[in-house]
Amino acid sequence: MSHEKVLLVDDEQEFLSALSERMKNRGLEVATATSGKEALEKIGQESYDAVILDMLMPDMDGLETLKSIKATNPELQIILLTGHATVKSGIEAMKLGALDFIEKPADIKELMEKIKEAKSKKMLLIEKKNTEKLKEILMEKGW
Amino acid sequence: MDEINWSILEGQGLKFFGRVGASISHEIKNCLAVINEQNGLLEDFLYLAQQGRHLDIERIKGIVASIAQQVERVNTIARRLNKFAHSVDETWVQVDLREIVTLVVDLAQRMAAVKGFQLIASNLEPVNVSTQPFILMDLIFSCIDQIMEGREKGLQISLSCVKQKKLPTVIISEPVEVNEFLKVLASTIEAHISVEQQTKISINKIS
Repeated sequence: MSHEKVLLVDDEQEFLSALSERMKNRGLEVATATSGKEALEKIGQESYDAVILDMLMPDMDGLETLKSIKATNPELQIILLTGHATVKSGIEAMKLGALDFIEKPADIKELMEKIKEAKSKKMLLIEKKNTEKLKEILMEKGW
Repeated sequence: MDEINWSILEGQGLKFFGRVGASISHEIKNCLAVINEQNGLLEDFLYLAQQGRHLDIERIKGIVASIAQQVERVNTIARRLNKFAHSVDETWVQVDLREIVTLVVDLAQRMAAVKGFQLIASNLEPVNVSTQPFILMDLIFSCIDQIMEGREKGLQISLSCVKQKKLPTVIISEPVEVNEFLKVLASTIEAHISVEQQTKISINKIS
């Protein structure tokens, strides 16, 4: 099985570089972005298994970024990171399709488990999508 | 007025206290998150060294310096929070307006950045004034908040303090709509708000 490919998004540069190095030490393939806009650009160019997204960022916040990602890549799994988790923002994030919501400072083991879960969920969704596509083709062709 | 008018602080006023508290706790959590990851990296390096991997002393020095920097950052934020929390200790006190303006800018900086605005303090003249610090901060903050609600992202909002026509005055670079809440806050600290191209809060009590 190939390594999980993750995009880490946070406006704290030091946090990004330290966490991405720790994830790489654990065998993950990691890319980083310091804003929601940069994250969207990277997602447009590359495929990721999971996006770890900070909730509060200048310009485009986590929920806004989450909405934009889900609009174009519904199967991409997003884990939100936040400094202050409120029930309200948690519910909103889950409604928008986030896989989970983790409070900062995050536990690396918990994060690694969530990333694995994200990859499995994404693969299941893609598989389901492919099966549906195949069914459609079979129906169209009448085979 | 000798006592803080607590009824004014209900609703909007307490909301101000809550918003500042939430923003500061978020900033502290961000610092802790960096410290947590740097500490985790040290653990990783120690583990790898135990497995026979070369320990890069320069990297370790870099991580230790980063942790020290974050501790200093948290300390500054905590000091700010402490100053803010003590702003309700006394009602009328003599303060230098520069301190009030600087504190509001520091407290609201991240909130403004998240909303896409830049907040700066400029042209701060030493001006002593007798005021209720919490109410004055609420008043300035509410003006900034109103500007951020109604204007395009990317705007730079600057705050200064001067003595104008003998009155200690806080000048905000953008105009605001003087609503009932701002009027009540202003009357509590004996201030007058005038709005033209900018917002001017002139405080009548001079120390």
